[in-house]
Amino acid sequence: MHPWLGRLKRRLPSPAARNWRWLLLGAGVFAGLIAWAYAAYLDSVVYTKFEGKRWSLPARVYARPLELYPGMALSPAQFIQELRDLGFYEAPNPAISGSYKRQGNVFHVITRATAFWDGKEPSIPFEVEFADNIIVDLRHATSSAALDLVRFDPLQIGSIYPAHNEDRVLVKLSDVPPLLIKALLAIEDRDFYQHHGVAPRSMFRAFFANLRAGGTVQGGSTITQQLVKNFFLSNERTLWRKANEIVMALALERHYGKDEILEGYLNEIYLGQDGTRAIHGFGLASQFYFGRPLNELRPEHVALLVAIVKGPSLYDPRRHKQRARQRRDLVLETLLTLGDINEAEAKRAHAADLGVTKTAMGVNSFPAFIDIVRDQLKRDYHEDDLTSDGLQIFTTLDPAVQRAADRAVATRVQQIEKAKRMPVGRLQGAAVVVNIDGAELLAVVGGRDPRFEGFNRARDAVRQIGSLVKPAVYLTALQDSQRFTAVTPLEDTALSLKGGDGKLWAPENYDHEEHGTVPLYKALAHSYNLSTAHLGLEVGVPAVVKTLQAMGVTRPLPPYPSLLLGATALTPMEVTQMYHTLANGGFRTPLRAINAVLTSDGKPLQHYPLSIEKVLDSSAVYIVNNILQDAVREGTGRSLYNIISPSLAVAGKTGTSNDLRDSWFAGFTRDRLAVTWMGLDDDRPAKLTGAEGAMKIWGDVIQQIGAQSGSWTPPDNVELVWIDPDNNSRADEYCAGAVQLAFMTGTAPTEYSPCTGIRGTVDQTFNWFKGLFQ
Amino acid sequence: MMRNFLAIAGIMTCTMQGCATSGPATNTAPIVDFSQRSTSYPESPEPRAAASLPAPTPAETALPDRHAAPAIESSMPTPHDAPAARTHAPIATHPAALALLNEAMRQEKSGELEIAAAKLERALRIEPRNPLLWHQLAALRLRQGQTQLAANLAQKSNSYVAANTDLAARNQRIIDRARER
Repeated sequence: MHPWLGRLKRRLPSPAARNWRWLLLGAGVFAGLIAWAYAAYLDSVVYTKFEGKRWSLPARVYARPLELYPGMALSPAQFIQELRDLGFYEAPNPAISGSYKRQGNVFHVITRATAFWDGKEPSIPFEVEFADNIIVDLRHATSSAALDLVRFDPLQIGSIYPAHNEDRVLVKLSDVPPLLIKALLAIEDRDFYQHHGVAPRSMFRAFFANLRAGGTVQGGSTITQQLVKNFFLSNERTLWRKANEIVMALALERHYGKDEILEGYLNEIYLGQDGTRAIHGFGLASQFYFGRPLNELRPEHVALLVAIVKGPSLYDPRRHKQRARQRRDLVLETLLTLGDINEAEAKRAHAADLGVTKTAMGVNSFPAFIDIVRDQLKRDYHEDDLTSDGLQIFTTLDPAVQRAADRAVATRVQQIEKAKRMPVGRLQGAAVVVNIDGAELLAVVGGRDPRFEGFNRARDAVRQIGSLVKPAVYLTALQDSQRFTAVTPLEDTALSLKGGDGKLWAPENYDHEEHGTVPLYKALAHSYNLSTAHLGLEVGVPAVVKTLQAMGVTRPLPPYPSLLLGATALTPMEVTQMYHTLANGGFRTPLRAINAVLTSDGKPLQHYPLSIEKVLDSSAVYIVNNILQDAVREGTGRSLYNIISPSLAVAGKTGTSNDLRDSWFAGFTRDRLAVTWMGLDDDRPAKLTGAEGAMKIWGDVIQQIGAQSGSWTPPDNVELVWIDPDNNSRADEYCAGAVQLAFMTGTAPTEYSPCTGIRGTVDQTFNWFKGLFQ
Repeated sequence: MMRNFLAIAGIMTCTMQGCATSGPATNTAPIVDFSQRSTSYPESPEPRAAASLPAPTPAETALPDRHAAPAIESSMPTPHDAPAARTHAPIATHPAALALLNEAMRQEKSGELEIAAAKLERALRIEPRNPLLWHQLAALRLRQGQTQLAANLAQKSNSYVAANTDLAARNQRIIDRARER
């Protein structure tokens, strides 16, 4: 027998016991193998997940950045609103970015450094002075040099989330305020830098400390364990899960350094809930609770964030203020004890309020606008890129205009619903506001409830446009300046003809009357159906279709006479694009919601440039716009001046569709165009004309946002001529009731009206005289 | 009768005082007040800096196209232009827009064309009807080879400027360039 085996045999007990022990040993080895394999498995899970973890960062959407320059129209109140939106706070002595001080009409502000498409904007301390709601002085705070332009960081208005609704503001360890780290380690894991993942000593210490304190003062889990918990495991509190957690924590420490783990923790720890959006990481928590970046937080804010770690819903500073405050103070005490803050700071911090904002700004506060942004992004980016790479989307939204538009729609819809005794909550509205020269979307309102993320009427409500189509008919005619001018007589008489579908088409005027022979401008200003139909038939429906397409309408148009009175449906956005070509003097520019896209760390990725094309004769456009001014002064839109300032030059068209189902108004000033709509979603008649409904919203918006009051300069080959409406001959400004109309040079009437008296005779003779010498 | 007498008397008085008539082909170059055409804030208290037309960009003077088209960039007026009818009045520009314009031109020189374009669009937000800004954007797009867009932008610039000006002529050159291709 083998010597060794022999010795073994002699040492072993009885065969029965021997078998039993073998079994046990075997089982033990087997169990050990399983455990080892499982541990190895957990280890690899930890490694691959942490290594491969690049957090999905949603794309962040920003409003247009506020830019200040001398001469800019801005009220101090509006300025403060912008500052507050951006999370700027008032300080007696502004020293860091994001702070400001007000002394009467002078503000001392320090902007935040930001990367834009066209370069990095440094943080600038400056002073701005207002007078009469205009910026009168702008200079550098330290050098006193005059500044031409100051640009703020843009307000975040939303994000584009992946399906699982996660969000982060990633921070590097070096970006995090040292006090935060000190507080965090002091409260959550004192021996973080010493242990290997778990700290049995601190578990015991915490146990006794909590016993002594009569409450939970310290946590027993290390930061590593908490990271693992947040990262991988569910929220059960079983022994099995705890065991897993310990193994994985050890594994994590085996593979990664302390700093990496800490940084991971700072970005991963769950710190709050915002509806369906989970708030992970201190960077985002800082924005969510205080509306400010992490580096602008004061000691009491930092302490509060660390306090929240233990239980974000239990210590929710918005819902459980007392509890949150108590725990915050505990954190401050600890910091004082450890000497990380001094007595004076501690005292001040204890006395300070929580400092939490009422609601979190920037979580899709403007869903209708963000819809449009997504549409425009989809053309260039996959959904995946949008929801995981943390792209920064700089848009054209103007928060002040958007708010004014939201308010106007909500207020007027409610008001009219009540006045007309309609069932509450059914009447709806929509609005789109753009700046004309840049074709930039300033505001998009999808419904009476601005926060509602459902049906976006501005983008998706396809509604009969009715009289809104008329300017296209008149524009078509006026392009033929030899045949049609502003005073060309039209027959406002009944007509009927067979439509393309074989049915009889017999339109009527709104007042069911015939007005006989009317000059062209009057027919448009008063929106007469009959004269428009006659005119449209004369120039031909296909020509009108061409005009509409030139104006930017891409939807297929029914080539029937009923099109002349608007028997076609468009969305408010499409109407805005169409009227924009008019407002822009015959230049078609695709409306833009986005200016640029940058990567998450500020590198320029894509610029969305302004594109423009001349598609209509600018003289004909000018003439139509001129008549549309008359429409607002004396025509169907005349009650608009009850809402807006009489000195504001406005060109606009009311729109009422068949059976009064849709109430529209499309109007523009020198610099701003807005289209508004009111109606019922189920397409039942709302029984509102354009002037009764949509126009009121329009007036409110423009009155609120302010607009340039200058009027339009006629093109070189257009002249403005006074006309006597009684006989459509030349008049002058002294004639009672005279109107100033636009004509292509040489097409205006040459006959003088008797109302001009001797002045007319002199002029007439003068012209005859002049003619002799030419 | 009385009316006609008064009319003739009026005419004679007028003629004796040498009333000026408006019309083309005069000898005095009309002073075009650009501030009327590019007002963004009628009651601005700030002084407006006058921006002289920058020297023609290389894109306007060079001939990068493949066709053997004759050079159009001659600064001599073409025969049908009245010699004195062109005005060279500087275009009043808001200081903020001017600052951006200068930055844009600098960046264009160093080849950062799209960044320059973004700066010009910013300037246009401040002063939307400044024909010089539109022209610069047109010239830039021309340099990038986007001739049709350049021509369109030049037309937009022309809508804010009188026909008999230097700037209008330069815009026309860009428009003509696009037509060639």
